[in-house]
Amino acid sequence: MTDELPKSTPQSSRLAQAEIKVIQLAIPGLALNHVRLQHRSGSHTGTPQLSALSQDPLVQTYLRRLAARGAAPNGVAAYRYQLRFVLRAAERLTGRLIRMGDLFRDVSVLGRALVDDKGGVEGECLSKWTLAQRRSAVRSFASLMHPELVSLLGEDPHMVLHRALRGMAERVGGGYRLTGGVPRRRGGRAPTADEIAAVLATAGQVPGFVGARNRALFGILAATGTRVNALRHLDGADCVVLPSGRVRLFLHEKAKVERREVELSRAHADALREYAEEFNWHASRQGWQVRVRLGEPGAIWRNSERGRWSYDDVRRTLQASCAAAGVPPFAPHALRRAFATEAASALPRHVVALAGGWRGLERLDDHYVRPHPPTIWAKLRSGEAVAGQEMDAHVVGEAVATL
Amino acid sequence: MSLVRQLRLFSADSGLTARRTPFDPESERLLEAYCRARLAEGAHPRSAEREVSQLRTLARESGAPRDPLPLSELLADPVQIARVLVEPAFPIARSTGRARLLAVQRFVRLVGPLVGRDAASDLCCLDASLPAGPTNGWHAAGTLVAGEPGRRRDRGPTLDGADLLRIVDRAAEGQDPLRRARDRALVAVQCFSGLRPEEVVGLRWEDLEWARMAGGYFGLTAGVHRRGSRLRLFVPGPAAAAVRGLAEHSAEEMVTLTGPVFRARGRAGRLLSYRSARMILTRACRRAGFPAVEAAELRAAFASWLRVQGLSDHEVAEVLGLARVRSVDGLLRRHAELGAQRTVRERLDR
Repeated sequence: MTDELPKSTPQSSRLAQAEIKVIQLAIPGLALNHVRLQHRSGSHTGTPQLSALSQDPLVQTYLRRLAARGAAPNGVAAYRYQLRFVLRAAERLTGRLIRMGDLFRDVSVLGRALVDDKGGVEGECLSKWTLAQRRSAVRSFASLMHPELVSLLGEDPHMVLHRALRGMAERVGGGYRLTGGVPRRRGGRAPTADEIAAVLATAGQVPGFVGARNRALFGILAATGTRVNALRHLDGADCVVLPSGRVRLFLHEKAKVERREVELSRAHADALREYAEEFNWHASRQGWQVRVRLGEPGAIWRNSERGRWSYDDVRRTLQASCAAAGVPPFAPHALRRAFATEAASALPRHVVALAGGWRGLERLDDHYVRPHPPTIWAKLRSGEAVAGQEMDAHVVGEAVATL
Repeated sequence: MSLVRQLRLFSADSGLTARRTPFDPESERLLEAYCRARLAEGAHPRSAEREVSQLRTLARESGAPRDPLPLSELLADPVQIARVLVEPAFPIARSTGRARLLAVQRFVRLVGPLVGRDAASDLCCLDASLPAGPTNGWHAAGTLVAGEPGRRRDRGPTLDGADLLRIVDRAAEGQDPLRRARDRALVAVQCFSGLRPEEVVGLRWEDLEWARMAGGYFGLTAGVHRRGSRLRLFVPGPAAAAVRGLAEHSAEEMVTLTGPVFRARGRAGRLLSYRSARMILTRACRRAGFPAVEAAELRAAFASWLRVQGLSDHEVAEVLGLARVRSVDGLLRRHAELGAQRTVRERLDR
């Protein structure tokens, strides 16, 4: 394996940056994101070149088979990224270009590459969750490329993988435990209901379709606990208006092929319709060709006549509204945490999980529900009051009995 | 008439027809031999027909466009079979991928020896050429084939009993009273019974029976073949009333009627096709203000209606003719999700 990786020259990188800059300047409100630029140009320290993987026929076949097995495009992209990272780690450990076939031939390097927790940035340590996904990607590779790897290695690739992992793992009790990686950071804080109400009111004060859009989108996010990108990618054809007037949205669900059905309340359905009317009125005044229509194909959430409202813009709008409302800034995903927290404080967790689209309780418990101390104090106080009343009644009862 | 041709006619009678690519005579002969062997093993004719269809697809995808690879050549090349099983030309469902693997394994076992192949070694070679995951027990080979695990078509909105009644009410259209009664009965049976669409279009008057229930009540039941035996499924009130309304258009009593319940217009006595039945349902949905819904949505809505009537999960499974009660959970999953969303909304709105 002596193939050299094609490297992007500083000149080509500068040209690419200039080109992206021109495109971004054409879109109002979109600033340069230098980290993303580094990723695109491949000059990021830890992110391997795309071509290293595209040259490996085994990986290309694997990705085709993975897609044929029904993996979602995001899932295919994630596994591709993890394989790239494994190869990059192996390259760093051995000091030479390495391909997946070579990696499986060298059990020691395979094991070390799988538990290598050095991140892309100097001094950064990857999480255990990332390492687990990396192992899943390599295990999936071993399964789908089983015939080719058997002919290459002369043995079952799963056995090779087991040996590689056991070689790096610690023997504990009746099994093995992998070391490396830091515990995954749990999500940030969950804003309170008052904070969300203040932010929504501020975001909706903007005149025109922008205010109506902010009210509708952030309102739906807060009320349904939907993921921001699932809602942002909503298509008009995925909005169903029932004869009863209810509006149901069919949203993409993470790691699922089938879409999730979300029913809007009357207020939010009206907010969505109001936004569509405002946008269409604005578009007709501006001479734009696009329209927002429920039940017909086309992006719903728009900032201009071009494409969808971008995630960066959604995030910036929310943070500006937080600043204007005097609330500590939070990301759109915090609204999902707030939904889980508010609902879980009043209802059983399995009901919350069903309502918010969590398949199990573990993720909901560990990453989303963030009980607010004031809520806990309020409940404790009311509990104490009830207990005090019961105690008083008991004392009075005993006194009456004594008399 | 060849056996494969007879099987095709069997499918046509059921309203399930598809276009075929012409195959070479040798391949047709092998398929014929395969059908005979499968039927001799006791396979259902429809199963044999479906397996033949999967084998045709494999041969088509192995050869050039409009020029399928002869099956004798395909038999001699297990690696090519594995390639088509793992990377099909078009996205398929996982159940289809598994059905293809099963059909190929049976074909190699039954027809391979007829063309001088060693079935055991061919099956070993096929296994070695297919991807495999780790296994837990002796009984699992871990073989993996292509196919998407979920549904390929997007589902429509979740319906409830009131929505079903609305669809049934809008089913009857046109001036012809017989046609109006037929369409209404067809949609009512699809909405308010556990019959599957192909069972509905194939329903005959002889299959319907008024059974005496507890308390002197007579309930309509329909006989269907499932899982190799004959079942009697309940046909509850709205569907039974619509069927009785259809029977009133004939001069005879309902119990003496014979022949297909849902007849096509034109030639007397011909079954309504699957496609026509689907169109009638789609039109009824549109008139009721819903997008076109699939049989799975109607079954789920019917299950939800049965739960509202006070039936337990086991009783719902009995009415739908389901083998496993757990299937009821799957049918009612989206109803449970919407119910949870409403509960949370009501609680948070306080």
